[in-house]
Amino acid sequence: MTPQLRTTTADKILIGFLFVLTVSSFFFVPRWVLSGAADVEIRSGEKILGRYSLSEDRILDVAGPLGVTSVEIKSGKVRIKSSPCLNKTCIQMGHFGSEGGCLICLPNEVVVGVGKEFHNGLDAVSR
Amino acid sequence: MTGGVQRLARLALLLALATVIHTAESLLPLTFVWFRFGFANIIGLSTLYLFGFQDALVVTLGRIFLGSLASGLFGSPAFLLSLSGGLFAILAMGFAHRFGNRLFSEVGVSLMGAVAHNAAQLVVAYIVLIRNEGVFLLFPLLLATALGTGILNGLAARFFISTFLRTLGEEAEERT
Repeated sequence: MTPQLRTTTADKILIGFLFVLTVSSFFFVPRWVLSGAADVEIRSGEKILGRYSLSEDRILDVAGPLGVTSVEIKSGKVRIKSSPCLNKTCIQMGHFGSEGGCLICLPNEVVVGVGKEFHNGLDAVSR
Repeated sequence: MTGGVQRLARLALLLALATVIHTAESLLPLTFVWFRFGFANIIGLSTLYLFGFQDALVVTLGRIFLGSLASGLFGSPAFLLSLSGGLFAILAMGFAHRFGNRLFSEVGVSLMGAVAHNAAQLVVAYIVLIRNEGVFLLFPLLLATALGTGILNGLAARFFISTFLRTLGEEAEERT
């Protein structure tokens, strides 16, 4: 078998294919990786009530010492819709999506957090 | 007899060359160049063309072991990553060379090796190091790197092979 030593048509096709694959992967891979990656975790006091996907719209009623806190998941965002507490600070905290965040109602002891563990800094050092 | 000795000497030289390139490249600071060019693979690929798959496998594995000993990274995660990458790259290139030699030149074979190298590394990094789907966000970047370095190394290997054959003349021609 003697080496080719010149670029063949198949080479060019391969280069073209890989180029298309590379460019398209910049769009598709982040979507695959990040889709459904984030869940919200709802706690009432010490108890974890459950994890809920951000991609599914729903309203969850969480019972606390003061009454029922209504948590709404809508179009990838979570917010506290209504709360029996006095200050309504939790409602004013607004909403968060897959980027992460938390909503806390201290009087009613409701915590809405990110289900997946997010942490800062380096994941690993390969050296 | 002399043929065997000659072959051994040449392979030893290729292995030494690959080890030096591998070690030198591992000294590059990742702060400026966040990826590796994989220049050592030029030698692996050339060995594949000049001596065949088995010798290329020995040269590749040999340079990874010797190179990691030289840079003090033997047994570290980095060593594991270069081992998995190198192994899969040489397997992919051996496969492409064996079954697609008519179709692909060194550039095509080198590209497949580069893609296999990076894909294998990413999967191993996911399994061993970082159990988080987030690592796959690196895939497009690694693919882009493989495209660039694959073509570059393929062209370099072509130059290396032709120089090798020209220098050795008919002697080497008989043994390919």
